[in-house]
Amino acid sequence: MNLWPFVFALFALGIFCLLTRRNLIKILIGLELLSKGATLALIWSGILRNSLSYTQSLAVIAIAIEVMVVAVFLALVYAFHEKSSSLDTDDMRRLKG
Amino acid sequence: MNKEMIPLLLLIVPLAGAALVPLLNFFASRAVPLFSVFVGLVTAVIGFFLLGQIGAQAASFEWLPGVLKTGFQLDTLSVVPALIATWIGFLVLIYSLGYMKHEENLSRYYSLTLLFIASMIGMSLADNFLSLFFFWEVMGVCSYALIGFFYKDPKAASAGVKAFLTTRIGDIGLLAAILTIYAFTGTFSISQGLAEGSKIALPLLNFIAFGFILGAVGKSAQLPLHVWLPDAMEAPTTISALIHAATMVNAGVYLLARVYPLLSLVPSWLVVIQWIGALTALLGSLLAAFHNDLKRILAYSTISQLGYMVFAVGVGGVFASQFHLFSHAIFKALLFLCAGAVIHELKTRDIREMGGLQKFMPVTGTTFLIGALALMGLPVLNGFFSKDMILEEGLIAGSWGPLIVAALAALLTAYYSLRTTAVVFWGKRRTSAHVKEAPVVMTGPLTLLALGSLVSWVLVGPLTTSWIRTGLEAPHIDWLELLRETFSSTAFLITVCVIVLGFLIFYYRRNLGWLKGKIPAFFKAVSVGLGFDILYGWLSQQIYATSNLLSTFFEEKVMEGINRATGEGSVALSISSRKMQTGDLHWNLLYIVVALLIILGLILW
Amino acid sequence: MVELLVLQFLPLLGALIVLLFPKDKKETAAILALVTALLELLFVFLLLPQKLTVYLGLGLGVTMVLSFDYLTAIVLIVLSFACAYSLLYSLRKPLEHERSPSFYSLILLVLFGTVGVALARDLIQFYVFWEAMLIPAWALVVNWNEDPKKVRYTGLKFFIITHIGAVLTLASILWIYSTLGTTNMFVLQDLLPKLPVSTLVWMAALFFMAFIVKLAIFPFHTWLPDAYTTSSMPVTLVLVGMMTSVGIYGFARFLPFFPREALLKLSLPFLIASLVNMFYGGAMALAEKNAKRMIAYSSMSQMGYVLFGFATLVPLGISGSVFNIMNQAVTKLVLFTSVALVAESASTWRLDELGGWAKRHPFAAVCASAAMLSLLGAPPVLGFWPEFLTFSGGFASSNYLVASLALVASVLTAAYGLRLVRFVFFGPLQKEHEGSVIRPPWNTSLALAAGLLIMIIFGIYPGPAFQLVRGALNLLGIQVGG
Repeated sequence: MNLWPFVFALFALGIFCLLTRRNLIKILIGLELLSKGATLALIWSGILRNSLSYTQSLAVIAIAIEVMVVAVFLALVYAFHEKSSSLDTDDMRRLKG
Repeated sequence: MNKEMIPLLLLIVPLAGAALVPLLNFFASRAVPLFSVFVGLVTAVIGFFLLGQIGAQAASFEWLPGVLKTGFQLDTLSVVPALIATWIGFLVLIYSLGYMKHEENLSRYYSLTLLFIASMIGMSLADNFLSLFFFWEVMGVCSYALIGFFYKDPKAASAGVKAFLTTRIGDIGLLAAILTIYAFTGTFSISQGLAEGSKIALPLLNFIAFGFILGAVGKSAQLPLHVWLPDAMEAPTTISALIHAATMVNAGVYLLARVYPLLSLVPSWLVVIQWIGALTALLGSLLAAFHNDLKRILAYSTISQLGYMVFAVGVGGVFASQFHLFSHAIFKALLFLCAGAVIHELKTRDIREMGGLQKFMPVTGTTFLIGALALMGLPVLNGFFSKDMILEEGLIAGSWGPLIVAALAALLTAYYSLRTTAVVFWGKRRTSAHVKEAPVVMTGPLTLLALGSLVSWVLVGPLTTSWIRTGLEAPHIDWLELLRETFSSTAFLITVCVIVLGFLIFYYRRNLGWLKGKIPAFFKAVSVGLGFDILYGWLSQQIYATSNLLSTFFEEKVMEGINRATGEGSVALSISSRKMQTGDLHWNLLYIVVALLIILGLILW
Repeated sequence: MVELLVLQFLPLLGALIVLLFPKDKKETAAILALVTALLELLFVFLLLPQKLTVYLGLGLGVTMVLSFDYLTAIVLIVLSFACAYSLLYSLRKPLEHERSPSFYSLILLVLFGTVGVALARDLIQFYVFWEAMLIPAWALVVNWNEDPKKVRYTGLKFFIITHIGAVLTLASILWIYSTLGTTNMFVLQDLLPKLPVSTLVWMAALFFMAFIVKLAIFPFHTWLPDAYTTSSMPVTLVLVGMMTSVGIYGFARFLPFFPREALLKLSLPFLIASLVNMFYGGAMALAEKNAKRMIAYSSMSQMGYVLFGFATLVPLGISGSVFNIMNQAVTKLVLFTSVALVAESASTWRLDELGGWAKRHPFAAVCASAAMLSLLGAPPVLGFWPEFLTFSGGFASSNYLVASLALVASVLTAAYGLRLVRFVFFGPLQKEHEGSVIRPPWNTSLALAAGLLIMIIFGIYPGPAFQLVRGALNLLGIQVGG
């Protein structure tokens, strides 16, 4: 069995989602897809190198961090929505040079 | 007392005096002049003891550890200029008591004068080139400060600057020569340097000779660097007498005489020296003959007489040059001090406003006449013997060109000496000012110097006897022989001829007035000193203008422009690169992804 | 061991204590700062005959190497003297804001940085202190100035240009580290000669950039006239007395550090650069109409002589330049201070509005004349000896043409020096300034008198000072004279 195609598929989907969607919630989903890909890659490499318990623990930590990222991201999204009552990234241009 | 310390003492006493005068000025400023005269007296007395030390060893000490060990060279060649400085310096200090009585800033005056005397002693007694150069430069500094003594007068201030700069040009030549010798022989010692000179390759020897000549030309006011000396007459007249006639200008001649063994290795430079000397003698006497400023006449006359000495060195008559230096110091100091007395009374330097002063200032008048006669070389004054000796040396060497020029100069000398004396002291009185004889502190030195002018040539005996030790050739004669030889020499005929001719020109000068209409260009050229000042003024203007242009254009526009362009360039760069910053989230993400891919690619490769 | 730490950290300690003072205790702060600088000076003299090295582990594998030898002693004496001089000068200044404790603290911080540079025997440490010295200096230039309109530009220029030099030096240090694996100078001394000459030439050239910029060698000189002119006087004195000395010290320290074969390749470019500096700086000074700027440019032209001495690579020339550490600092401190006295009374620095001030400021006139003579290398003041040694280096290294040209440049030096004194002190005094003699404040007089005495005493008898220079170079393997 080979899980690498799934990992790549998850990454590709995530990046595609990040680059093409304009809705912040969808971007969050793209980000989630990326991290799921990363977690999967972690687990699979653990299986391949026979150190599953080690990578499992890493994966758990990764998931925990992911939750925090989601929480912070959602907080930012909420704050942005409060301020501009929009979820469109086109309305976020304060970094324009 | 240790006899080896005498030369050191001779140097240190006036030096210490120079340092103490400003301190004394804090506590008792009125005692400054007398204290200085006292220091001068002590120096003069030590000078007598130095006479017994000729040829002796002297103490030496480490001046610059590992590089320079300095000592004293005590031969006739070096002792004579040193003693001239001490004794004439002492007389000038006494004279100053009267002359400078009413001036301000006397502590500066006396301090610098003492320092000057010390440095002349140090210069001539130095046994190595570096200490010679050190004191040579100190003299230049003192000269600068004393010429600009009346600093409020812009003319005096500028004259000081001019003197310093002009002599500085000569100084760099001297320094270059000294350092080249040092680079080759590894020593600053004069005797060793001269002895090993023949080992130096010829091109470098030429360079060295050129350097020494340049130094001498600057300090002794020879062509073409003579321009500073006439302007230096802005100094107090005492200073003109001491520095710019009797002592400092001798330094150049002394230097040439000192390094003569080196110069004689490159004969072509000797010819150059002859011509420089002869032409300077002619130029000086020509300008002196047509000037109306008493001090400037004497200045030009100094230039001219120094020309003789330089000429003498050029034809190999080192002793003759030093003998003339000795005579000249005495009679020129005398002439200057007389002039000082006159100027002090009349408050003018223009001889056309003088006249008929003999009646009011008998001592000054008489002594001036003696000085003038010595200057023109009338038998049996000291100037006669020494100048005759120089012409004789020229005849022996057979260098006819320069000799004829020098003889011509002697003719003009006879003329202007008579003219100056006549216009100032004889004839009708042209001033209404109340004139009286100078005080004793001034006439005393005058009388002594006049006496010196009459009899100093008698010293030729001891001078030649001890001359042997310098390693240079000299006739070994005493004064009787000198008399006999001089009167039987060919040069004597020349002297007589030129003096008679000069006298005739002087006598019939009114009949020669038509000349002025015939050659106006000549007279105009003479009135501006043959244009040297104009040329140098123009040159310095050019240098200044170039600097200005560099400053206003290159520094302020180009260099500053580069600075600003760099600054503004980076600002422009940042403005143009701001466009990459779209603020669009997707673009930013794309950059991140691309960068990640590139890094990934780099790792995989 | 403790001695060197005291030497190194005393100024820092002083700076911190001075900084703690409240604003209304300025005088006490100033005096404390002055005492610190004087103590530092005293310590150097106490340590003088010794040769000490200290390794100080800071953890994380970082080791400080401090070492004290004659060369360090020379520059430390000059630095603490110049620091004390500047502090003494600023004690009683009329400008109120100059007397804040942070000002004195910053001056001590400059001293701290420069002392660190002088003691460092580790390249990284050297670089760190070099930067540590630039920052307080920059803060001084920007915050205490006489021309608020120009100061931002000046400060920026000063910082950026000196920084460019420093960064190039850092590049060289990193290069050396990456090839030889150490930055300890004692170790490197033996390792460097093993590198190929072609590499060493570039290493050395890059390394000297910081000093070249610090010495204001053309075309990296543009920061100097602006920084000197815009800063207020005490800051100018800090720049003149301390920054320049450290720049010269850098050359003196690292010239024997690099192998001679590599330096021989750099000799001619450096000689030419020094000539350009002499003539260019001289021409600028001659054309300048502002006295302060004129002295600033004169400093640039003088640095040409300093570089010349080093570039000859012969013991005499190098000894002249090391001697110049003392001479340049004292001479220019005195020159700046004495002309500043007049400029203060006349409230202008413009040459065409000055003149004749010898009458009202006789002491300043004497000091300025002496300093001017020293500047143009005339005896009997100190400047004669370094200048003569520099030139003799030129001739001893057989660079006859270059050395002769340098001699010609000295006429230019004389021209602007004489011009300065002529137009400030001589000539007629302007009508509105007529009056009696002005007594300068005691602290300025004291500072000037100290400088004047040093110049004259060592001008007449340079023995002790030169013996120190000789000893310093001897330790570095350069034998001066027999």
